[in-house]
Amino acid sequence: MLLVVTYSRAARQTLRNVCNAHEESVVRRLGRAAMFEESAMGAFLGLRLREKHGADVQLERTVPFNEFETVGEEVRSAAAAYESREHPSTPYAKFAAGTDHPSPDALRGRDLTEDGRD
Amino acid sequence: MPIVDGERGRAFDLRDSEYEVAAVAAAIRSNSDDDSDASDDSPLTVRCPEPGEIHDHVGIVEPDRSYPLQTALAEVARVRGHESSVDEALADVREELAALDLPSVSLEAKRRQVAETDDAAGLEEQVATLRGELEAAKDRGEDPAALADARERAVADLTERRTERLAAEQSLERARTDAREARDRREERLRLQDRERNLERDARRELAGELQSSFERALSALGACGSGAVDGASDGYGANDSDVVSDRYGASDANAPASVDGPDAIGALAVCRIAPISAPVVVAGEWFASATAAAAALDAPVILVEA
Repeated sequence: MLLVVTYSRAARQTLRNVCNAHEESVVRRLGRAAMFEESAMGAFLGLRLREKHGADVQLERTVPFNEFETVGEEVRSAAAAYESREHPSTPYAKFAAGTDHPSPDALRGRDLTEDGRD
Repeated sequence: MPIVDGERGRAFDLRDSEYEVAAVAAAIRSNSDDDSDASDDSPLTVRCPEPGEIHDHVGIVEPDRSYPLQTALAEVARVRGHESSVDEALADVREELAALDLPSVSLEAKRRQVAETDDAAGLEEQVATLRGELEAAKDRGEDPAALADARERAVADLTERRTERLAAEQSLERARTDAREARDRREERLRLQDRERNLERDARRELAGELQSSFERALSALGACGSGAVDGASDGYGANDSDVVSDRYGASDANAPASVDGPDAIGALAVCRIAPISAPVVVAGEWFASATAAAAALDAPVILVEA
């Protein structure tokens, strides 16, 4: 999908107008941002916005997230385990210490991959 | 050229003339811009002081228009020297906004560069083809020197192109990182602008609220005028019983200062009544029986026109 983020009042207003006028090309509205369908129409709308508002419009293309492809089992199970922790106030760093779960630093240092292998 | 001379009177009745609201309003405004130039294309000349912001908001009264009553009332409060409790915060936000340095973000050139250096695949294919041809030539026992040279050149091209592409990608990546910071700054501006707008709204509400009782009294007084001056029979809003009129024109909600039960226009008239207005208020519609009554009720110079 195409992610459009606006950074000024005027650009935000134009985005609203565009979203109202082209509902069929808008996948989701997120306040001052929106996701457009990945079509030439979506691109056209995004480019029009940037043409009008320059640096106050950011256009990005998003990639679907598949955790089975982009992160290892270790990361998935760490997330699941942390969310079912006993004490909600335990920070992740403390939770992970002394276990097989990766430390916050290890997580930060690891890029996403395409095949799920670490 | 017909002249409405504000120096010679405060009450003018143009209801029997051909001049409509827009023309009279334009004449009042152009009067303040530049005398010489305005008198040329305007069908009417109005000699009067320059209209101020309050006049801009409520100075042209037509029955079916809506008016920014709260804004106008807040402006009246400012003119009277009232201040709001958020004025300081508002000044701070505006100062921050003014001081904000906004680096521009344009990655277009770099994106284009990356896209244009993206022909390595073609070169790879060429290298592979040449390698195949080279081996075939060797198998046939031909002199491979020319093909070997071509292959070497293609490999060199490919290497060079890959280097260029890598450099372009890295350059784009760096620019993207820089852009993040520039966008943080823009995001901050948007946050400040939103805060400015909210504070402005708070200030307006507060200031208008300070004049709420004056506003209500003005509405009642205008209603009371109805028994004599406001033409009761015109459009169902007026009535000859002053109590009925003031009832209908009561202020509607204490939490939203300057709102009115009834047409917005009566609220505009009420603001005019309590505002110091020196340019003539243009009144269209049968609110008043005469221009003199209108000028008295609004405590301002008045030009009556046909609605």
